[in-house]
Amino acid sequence: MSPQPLDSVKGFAVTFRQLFKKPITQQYPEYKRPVYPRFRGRHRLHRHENGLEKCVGCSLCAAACPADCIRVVAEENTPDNRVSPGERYARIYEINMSRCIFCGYCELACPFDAITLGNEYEISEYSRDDLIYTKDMLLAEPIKKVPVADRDLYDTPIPYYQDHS
Amino acid sequence: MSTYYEEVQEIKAQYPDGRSAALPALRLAQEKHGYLSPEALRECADALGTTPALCEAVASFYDMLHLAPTGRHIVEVCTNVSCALVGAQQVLESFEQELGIRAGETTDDGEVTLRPIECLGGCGWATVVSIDHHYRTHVKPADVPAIVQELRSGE
Amino acid sequence: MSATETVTLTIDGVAVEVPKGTGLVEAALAAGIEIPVFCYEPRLGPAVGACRMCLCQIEPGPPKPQAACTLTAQDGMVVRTALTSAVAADAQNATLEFILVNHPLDCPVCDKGGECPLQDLTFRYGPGNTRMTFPKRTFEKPIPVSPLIALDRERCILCYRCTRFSEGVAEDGQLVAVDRGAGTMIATFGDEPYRAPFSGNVIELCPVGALTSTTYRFEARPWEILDVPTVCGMCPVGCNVNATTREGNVKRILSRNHPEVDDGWLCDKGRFSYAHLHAEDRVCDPILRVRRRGFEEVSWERALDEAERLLREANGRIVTALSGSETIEEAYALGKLLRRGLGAHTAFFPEESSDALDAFRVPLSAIRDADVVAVLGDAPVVERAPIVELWIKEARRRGARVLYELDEEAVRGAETAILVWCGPGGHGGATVAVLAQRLGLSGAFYIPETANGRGVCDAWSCSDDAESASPDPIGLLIVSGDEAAANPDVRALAEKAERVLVISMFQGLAAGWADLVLPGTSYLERDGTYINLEGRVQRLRRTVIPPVPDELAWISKLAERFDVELSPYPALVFEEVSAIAFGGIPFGEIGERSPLPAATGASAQIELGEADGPAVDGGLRLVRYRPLFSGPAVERVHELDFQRPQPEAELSEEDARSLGVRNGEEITIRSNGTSVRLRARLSRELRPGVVRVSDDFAGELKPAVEISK
Repeated sequence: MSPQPLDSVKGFAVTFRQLFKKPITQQYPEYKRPVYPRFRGRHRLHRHENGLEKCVGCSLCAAACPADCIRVVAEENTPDNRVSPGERYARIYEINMSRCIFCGYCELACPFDAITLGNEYEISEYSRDDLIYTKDMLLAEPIKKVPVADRDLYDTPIPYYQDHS
Repeated sequence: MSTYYEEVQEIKAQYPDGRSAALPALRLAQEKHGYLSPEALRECADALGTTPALCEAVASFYDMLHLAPTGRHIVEVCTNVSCALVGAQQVLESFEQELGIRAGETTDDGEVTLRPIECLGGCGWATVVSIDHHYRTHVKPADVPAIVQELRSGE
Repeated sequence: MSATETVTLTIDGVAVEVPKGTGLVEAALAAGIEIPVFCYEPRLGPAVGACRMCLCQIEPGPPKPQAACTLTAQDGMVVRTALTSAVAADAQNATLEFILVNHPLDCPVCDKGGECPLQDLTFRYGPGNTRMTFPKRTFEKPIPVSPLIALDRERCILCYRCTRFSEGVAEDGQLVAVDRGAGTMIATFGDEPYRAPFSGNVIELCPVGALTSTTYRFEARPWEILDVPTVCGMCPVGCNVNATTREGNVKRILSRNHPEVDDGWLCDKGRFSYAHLHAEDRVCDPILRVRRRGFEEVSWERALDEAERLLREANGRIVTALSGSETIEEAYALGKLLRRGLGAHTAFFPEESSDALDAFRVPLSAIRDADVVAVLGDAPVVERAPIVELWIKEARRRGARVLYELDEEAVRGAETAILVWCGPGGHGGATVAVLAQRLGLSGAFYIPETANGRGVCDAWSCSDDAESASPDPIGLLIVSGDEAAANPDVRALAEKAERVLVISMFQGLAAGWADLVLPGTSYLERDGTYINLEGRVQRLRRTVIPPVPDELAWISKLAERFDVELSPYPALVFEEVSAIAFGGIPFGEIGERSPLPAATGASAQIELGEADGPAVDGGLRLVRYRPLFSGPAVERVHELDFQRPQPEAELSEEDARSLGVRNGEEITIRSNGTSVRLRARLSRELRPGVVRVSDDFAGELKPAVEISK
C-alpha cells in the first residue's frame, strides 16, 4: 500500500492530458525538417569559376583531422592534364565518412576554401566501403538534398575574419 | 705570341691561389672572344683549373664583363643614386628613344649597345655616361641626340 | 693534450662557460637559448652571415645589431638576443619581413611546407603581418637543376648554403650564384645538369623549398610520413640514413648524421636509388624451370620443395656465391643451413676480407684530423666509398697533406697520418695492415667493393668450423643476391654447375640461367646488421614490408627440413653470431648511432700473399674501376642515368705533360690488339704512370696500355 494513494492518479493525469495536445512527432522520411544554415554535414569539394579544382592537395585537412579520415595523394599538374591552378593537385582525395566526426576542422584548415561541410546528413549506406567518398563524389552535387532553414531567421554573426581584414 | 692558356698561367703564378686570377683571365678571354661566350668561359675555366660555372658566377657579377655579344660602341648610363637624383632615368630613356632600342639591347646594325650600369665613380658629375669607356659628365636628356649623332657618324 | 681554454660570456643574462673558439650560436645553445639561423651551418665551413637572421645586440662592439653566427665567444662578452633586446627583436623582425617580401605564400603547394625552417622561424620570430601589398615577383618554375633537383627561384632566400656546399664541401664547383643583387639565381653552367656524386645534399641543406627533390616531388607531407632510422647498404661506408615512408612505400632517403661515419652527408647513390624497390622486373614469386627453356611462377610451398630437392640431389657438391650485400644474419643462416645441414663448405666470396686492419681501427672522422693522408691503391675513392672522399677533402682543406703516392718520409714525419687503400692489391686490408705496421700508423682503412663483404665473410666462417675441398664438378651453385648474379665470374661458375639456384630481386638478372629463382629483398626491406669498412656493426631496420618473405624467413623453413635449428628472427640469429664473432653484444644494444669497437692489439705477424700489382715496363698501368653509379639497383633507377660515367680517361698531370695531352682532348688508349678512344681528364689525385678508366669504357684493355693522341 502506497503512502500517498493519489500519486498514481496524478501521474496518469499527466499522460491523459497529452492526448489532447498536438503531436510533435515528425514523419521523418516524408517530412524533412530544415537544418540550421551552419549545420555541418556531408563534405563538398569546390571548383573555381573556370572549372579548375580549388583543392591543391596540400593535405592540411588530413593533418587537422582528429579522426584521421582524410587521405590525400597529390600529383603534379601538367599542361596536358591541368586539374587545379598552380603546380599541385589532389590525384586521390578520400574521406572515410564512417570515421568522420563532422567537426569541421578540415574546413578551417583549408587554405583555399576548397572543402566545406554541407548540410546533407543522409549518408547511410549498406556497406562500409560505400562510405569512403572519392574525389569525384565530393566534387559532384549531392544527390539527396536537405532543406535549409532561412538564414535570416537565425542570428549568425559575421565571422571575425570577414569583418577584420 | 703566347696562347691564352700560357698567358693565364703567367698571371696565375702571381697569386697563392690560382683562382684569384679569375678577373684578369676573364678580361683576357673577353678581349679574345669579344664577349664571354660559353666557349670563352670554358676556355677560361680550363686555364684556371676551375669549373665554367664558377667563371660564369664571377663574370655575371661584374658589369664590365659581358655575357652577351655587344655592339661596336657601348653606351653605359649610370643609374645609381647620385645620377638617379639628377635624372639618369630620363637620360637612359632618351637614349632608348634615340637609338630605338631598350636598355640592355644592341641596335640591329650591331653598332651600339645601350646598358644601364652601376656607379661609375663620378657622383660629383652626375649624370655620368660612359661611351666606349670614356666618361661624359653632366649629361642631360637634351645632350643625347648629339651624342648619338656623334656615335653614328663614326667618331 | 692540455685542458682546453675556456671563456665566460653572458647571453641574455645567463653566464655560460664554453671552450675558446666556440661560435656564438653554439654558446647560446649551451646556455639553453636559441639564436635562429638560416645560412649558418658549421659543416659548410666559415660562417658567411648571409641571411641576417641571427642578429643580436653584442657588447663590446658597434652600437648596432651584429650577425652572431659570424662571431666566436669572447671573454666578458655580453650578448642580448631577441628575447631580451628590443633592438635585436626589431632587427630580426625586419629581416624576416624582408625575406618574406620576395618569398611566395605557396606553403600548401611547397614540398618543404611543414618541415621548413623559414615557416618555423617566421612563426616564432616574425611579424604577424606583412606590409607588402604589391604583387610579388614571379619566375618560371620549376627550373630543373638536374633530373634529380628542381629549383624554385621565387622561394630562394639566397642563403648560399647550396653554393657553399658545392664549392666548399663537395668541391665540384658546379652550383653557383649567377648575377647579383635581387637578380641572383642559383644555377649551373649553361644548360648542364648538376652532375656530381653529392648533388642531393643541397636539397637537404636548403632551408626553404627552393631546391627540392624531383623524386619526392608532391609525394608526401611531413605529417603523413614515418622516418625509419636505418643504414645505407649501397657501399661499404654504411651512412646512417632515415628512410621516409608513406603508406608502405619508401618515398625518400635522408641523411641521419653520425658524426664519426658520414657527418650528415649522403651520396646520390644512397639517396636516390631506393626506387629499385619498385623495379619493373622485380621478382615477386619463385620462378621454376620446367622443361628445357620454359619457366613458370610457382607457389612458395612448391618452391621450397624444389629447393629441398635441389639441395638433396646435389649431394653436398654445393658452391655458394655470396654477393656481400647480405646481412650478417642472412649469411650466417645460409652458412648454417648449407654447412651443418649438408656439409657444403665451399663459398665464393666477392672479394678477399681480412681482420688484420682491426689493430688500426679508427673512426672515419679521424681522416679529417690527420696531418697526412696517404691515399693508395689507385682506384678512385669517390667511386667506391663516396663519403670517404669528402673526409679526405675536408682533411685537405684543414691543411693536411694528401698523398697519392707513398712518401714514407712524409708519413713517418707526420704527427698523425692515416692510410686509405682503395684499389687492387689490398688483400682485404692485409697489405694495408702490413704497411701501417711498418710505418707505425695509428689508423688505416681498406675500402672494399661490397657493402658488407666483411660481415658476410665473418658470418659464413662463424656458421661452422669444418672445411672441405671445393667440389668438382659442381652439383648445385647457389647464387645469393643481385651483385653475385651480375658478377661475370659467378656466371662462369654457373656454366660449369649442373644446377643453379638464384636468389635475386630482379628478373632481368636471374631469368634464363637458373633452375630455381627465389625472390630476394633489398637492404631497405631487411632487419639485420652490416659491418662497414671501419669494422663498425650497424643496424639495418625494415623500412617497408617487402612484397616477398625475406630471406631469413624461408631459409629457416628450409633449415627445418634438414634438421638444422635456425630462428627466423634476426635478433636471435645475431645473438648466435655475436657470441662467436662480436664479443656477445646483443642485437638491441647496437643502437641507432652505433659506436666503433676499440682497436684490437696489433696482430703478431701478418702473412702476405703475392706482391701487389703487376709491374709494367714503359707505358702506363691501366686501373679499371666500377663506377659509383652502376650495379643492379642503380641501373633500375632511370633518374640516375645522367650520373653514369662519361667516356673519360683520367691521367695524372705529369703524364699528361709528358704526352702533351690537354684536359678534354681525345686520346687513344691501346693495349695489345685493342684500343679505345676517350676524352682525357687531368687529375691531381692520381700518381704518374697510371691511367684510370671506368669499366663501362675500358672494353677489352689489358693492364699495360699505351696512350697516343
